[in-house]
Amino acid sequence: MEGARETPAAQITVDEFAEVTVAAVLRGLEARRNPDLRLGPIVYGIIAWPEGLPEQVATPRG
Amino acid sequence: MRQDPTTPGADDPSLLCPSAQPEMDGSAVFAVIGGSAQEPRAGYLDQLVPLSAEIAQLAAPLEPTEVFRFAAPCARSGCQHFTEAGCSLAKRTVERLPPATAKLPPCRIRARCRWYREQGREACYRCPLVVTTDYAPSDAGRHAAAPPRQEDIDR
Repeated sequence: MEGARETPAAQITVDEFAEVTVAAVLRGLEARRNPDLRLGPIVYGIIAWPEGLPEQVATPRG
Repeated sequence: MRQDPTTPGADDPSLLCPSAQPEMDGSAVFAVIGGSAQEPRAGYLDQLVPLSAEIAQLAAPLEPTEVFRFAAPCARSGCQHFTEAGCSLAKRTVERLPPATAKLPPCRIRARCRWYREQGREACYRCPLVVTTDYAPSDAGRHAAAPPRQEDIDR
């Protein structure tokens, strides 16, 4: 991981957007197709409550 | 809502979720998932790109969330990750994922990012690893992504 820590995250300009997106789609296809990698899908991000169960987490008890 | 005293401004309603869904109001692309299937790395746009049908089509045949990272206003209590202490996903991200970089990514949303507001730079060092819809998650990623169970919150 030390090598990765030395690598700064890339910045993408608008002009590069389409080209970078094509590479990102190929990366995503590989993630879907490689049986050794395919452990998902998972959602790493916002997950809404199911209908009828809003605000359960934030509601204080008592 | 009770606010964690260590996170000033965490109740700011303008804060953004950095791993949002494209159909949310105000959603915009702020990063593209590069790297490899084994080691994804987000690259950060120098300006936000609102989602359009044309942008979504660029991700086809994948879901836009496999290709892009979206920022949108934090759903707060409408999200399963949100607790009285704030965003539990941001907390688990810092606790469980290794840093991907030792330098702050060139991110356009940092000033309004909930993860940064609550967890500081440590969230930014790990942010490039995050794929919102991830078909090849690491073990650490799978554990970090799981919302807290209600009984854990009540404990």
